[in-house]
Amino acid sequence: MARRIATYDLRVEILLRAEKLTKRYGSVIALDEVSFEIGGTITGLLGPNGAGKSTAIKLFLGLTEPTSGRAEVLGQDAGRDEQVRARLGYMPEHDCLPSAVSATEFLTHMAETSGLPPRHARVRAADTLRHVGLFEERYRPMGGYSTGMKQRVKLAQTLVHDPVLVLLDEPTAGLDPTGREEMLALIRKTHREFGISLVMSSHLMGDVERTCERVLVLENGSVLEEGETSTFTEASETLYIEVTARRSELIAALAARDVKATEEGSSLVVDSVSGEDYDRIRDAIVAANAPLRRLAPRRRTLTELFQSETNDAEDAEDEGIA
Amino acid sequence: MSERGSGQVFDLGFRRYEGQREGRRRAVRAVHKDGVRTAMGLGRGGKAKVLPWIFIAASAIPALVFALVAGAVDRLADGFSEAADLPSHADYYGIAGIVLFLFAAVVGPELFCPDRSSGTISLYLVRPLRATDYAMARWAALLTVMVVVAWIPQLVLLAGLVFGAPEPGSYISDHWKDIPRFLVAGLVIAVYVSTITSLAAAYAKRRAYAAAFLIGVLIISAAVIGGVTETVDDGVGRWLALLSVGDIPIYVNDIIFDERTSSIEAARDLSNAVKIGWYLAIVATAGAFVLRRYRKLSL
Amino acid sequence: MTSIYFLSLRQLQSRWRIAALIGVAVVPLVPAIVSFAASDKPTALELDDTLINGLLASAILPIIALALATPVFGNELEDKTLANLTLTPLRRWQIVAPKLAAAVSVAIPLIALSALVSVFLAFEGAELSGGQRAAVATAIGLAIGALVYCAMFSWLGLVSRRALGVGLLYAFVWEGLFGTFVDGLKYLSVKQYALSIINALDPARFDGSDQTVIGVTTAAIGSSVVLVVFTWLTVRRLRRMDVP
Repeated sequence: MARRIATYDLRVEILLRAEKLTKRYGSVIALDEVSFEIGGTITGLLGPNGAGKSTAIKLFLGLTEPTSGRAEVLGQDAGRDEQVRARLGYMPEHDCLPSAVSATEFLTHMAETSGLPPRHARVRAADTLRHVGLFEERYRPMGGYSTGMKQRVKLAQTLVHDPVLVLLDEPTAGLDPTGREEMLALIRKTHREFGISLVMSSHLMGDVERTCERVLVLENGSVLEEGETSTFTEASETLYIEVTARRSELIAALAARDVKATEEGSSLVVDSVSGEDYDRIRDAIVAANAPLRRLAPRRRTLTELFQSETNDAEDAEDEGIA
Repeated sequence: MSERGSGQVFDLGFRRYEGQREGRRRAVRAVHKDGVRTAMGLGRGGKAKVLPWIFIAASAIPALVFALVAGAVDRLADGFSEAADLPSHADYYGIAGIVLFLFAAVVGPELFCPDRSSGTISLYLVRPLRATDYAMARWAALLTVMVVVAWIPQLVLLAGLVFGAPEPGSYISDHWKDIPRFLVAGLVIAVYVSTITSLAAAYAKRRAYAAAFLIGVLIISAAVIGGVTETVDDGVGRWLALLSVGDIPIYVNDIIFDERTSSIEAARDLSNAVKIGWYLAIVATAGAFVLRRYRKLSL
Repeated sequence: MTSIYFLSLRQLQSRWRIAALIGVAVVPLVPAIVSFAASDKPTALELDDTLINGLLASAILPIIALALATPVFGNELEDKTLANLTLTPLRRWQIVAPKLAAAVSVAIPLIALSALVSVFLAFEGAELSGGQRAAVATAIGLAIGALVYCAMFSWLGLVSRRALGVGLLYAFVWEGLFGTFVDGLKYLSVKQYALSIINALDPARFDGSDQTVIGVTTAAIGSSVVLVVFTWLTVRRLRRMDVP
């Protein structure tokens, strides 16, 4: 069966738009006049706990009212227009599964509450549970499920009615490394094979880096950074050089060619390598006659990037106080 | 791959959905259906079904007793049952109404409280229905169950009386009026218990608290008002009679059957308009507060 | 054991529960006060019927016992914290006894005080003699009833997730509704045990009543059996269950 192609290009459409979006809980500011747009892809909302990720998701879904500004989903206010909610999916961070019913029963019910007729709802429930990798277990009450199985049902529940856009709040919370990998793979697969756009929040940079095409870094209720995930990781490269002898000679040779190397454990690390640098490093190794054991590039990860950003911010604050 | 009659090739697995989307209307019906299933323990384990069916049995047993007594008396002395004031359709809710209240108090909070405490409510709120739609659908689910539970014993009683009578045909032609009366009376009591139970369940944090509150108010108000109205002057007593939470729908029941079955005698001095007005006022106020609670629901 | 007792006591004393229970315990004062105001004074028999039987024994007693005894284990089951207790180096009965004691030590003062004050005031208000004796008899009878109910409902809280529903069924449908149809059920009713003990302690007030009450010996034996059996069942259940 030929897979139907979406009638419009989901990648250019603006699915989410925040306009000077502000949310205060009493004196605490969860989001402070943020403005951004999210298109049809997998977008990561990255930030530490309390950055305002969950609040942003809830505002878009209309689960809570903004203090000021606007949160639009597919051009609508989801809090006021229930029609648009028929094409959205939401996976909360907290528990949300009734324990007495089975996954099949629950998914069928959720499909119906999204507007699907019962006979379609049943088929969709079975298909979706298979998609997320839940098989025999789906007839047992969900109270007895492991965290991994519960997370799968929570994801299935967002997909059962075939949404245009799915918002996932910390989808990997509580999962072990294998479970986390599987969940991220499912998220990628959902986007790649079915063209469903996803927004996932996470405090784990690794998750976002591996899964998302775009990233929005939130901190203290403001947008810190925004762009393609690749531009975050490709801006600069770090090179590892490991030699079995003549290390100091190599450092001197590199220095003679204007390449600054730092020692890190048994290897030398050269930061911000680009273009001509590669030739100079090669020449230096030859000139120093150092027995090369390993020469490996390492892409800068979002983790480092994010840490350096926050460290800078903290440093700035410390200076301010001093 | 084998092709069957319709000639379709089945692609197992997840795919896009191109079928109908029925939006809010379907969502409301789904919440209602799920509410009925929850209340009756359908689609849940065997243990969940025990309590609802015990209640239904408990409410039908007095009806069976009435029918058997009426049949026995009829056989002992021909025509005696006409003269003797044997309990019948009119008396039923006055006597067994407590079972309906208990049933609603135990089962009703099940439809509201767990959704809030387990976080499922946020999944409903992001679907194409409003919070107030959700509350009304849950209320309607409880009402559906309560109407059935209220009618079953009356139908059992009717069957018992019809087949216990010497001539079933003439019994029906003499007593046909009881049928619309008990249908309406059953609806009246079901609306009342569903609405006040929804009110308690909408605000209570745990199911048990809602049930305890409802039963406490019901039993205590009946006992206190029952005792007090016997000692105070009738002029005061008749107004106090309006405070017995469980008796209010029974007053309406008595108007429908044009009989006095309520255990609180002081209520006889109240006009029908006051009784019906009070009933409607309580139902409307309770309903308004349920909707208000869900309109202002914060997560 | 004492630490479990105090811990359970503290768990029962959430502000709302205590406020609600005091509210319930105060209710019998209403008819008592009304009897002061009434022009047509109630007789001792009427008071027995409406206040002691109808309100205190049939409503206040089971409600207080249910509200205090079902959460003794029920809340810990719901919060999945029962394992903390079963992992202590105590025998199972050493967990059950203090928990039961905690429920009882709140329930008995509440119900006894409520009975003592309301019955005494009602008799005074109705200008009847023998109010002191009736008040003490009622307080003792209901205190024994509270003990038995608590044993029963603590067990219920441990075995059923819907303990309150089942308890309500027992108290108001079995003892209340069916008890009015089937006279023999009075032998299987904690409320009737309590009423029998009250009447045995204060027989004078009861003269001329057509109400049938089971013998006090039967009531005493019945109460003891129910108390022992349900406590034993609770211990057994705690020993055998899979603690979540």
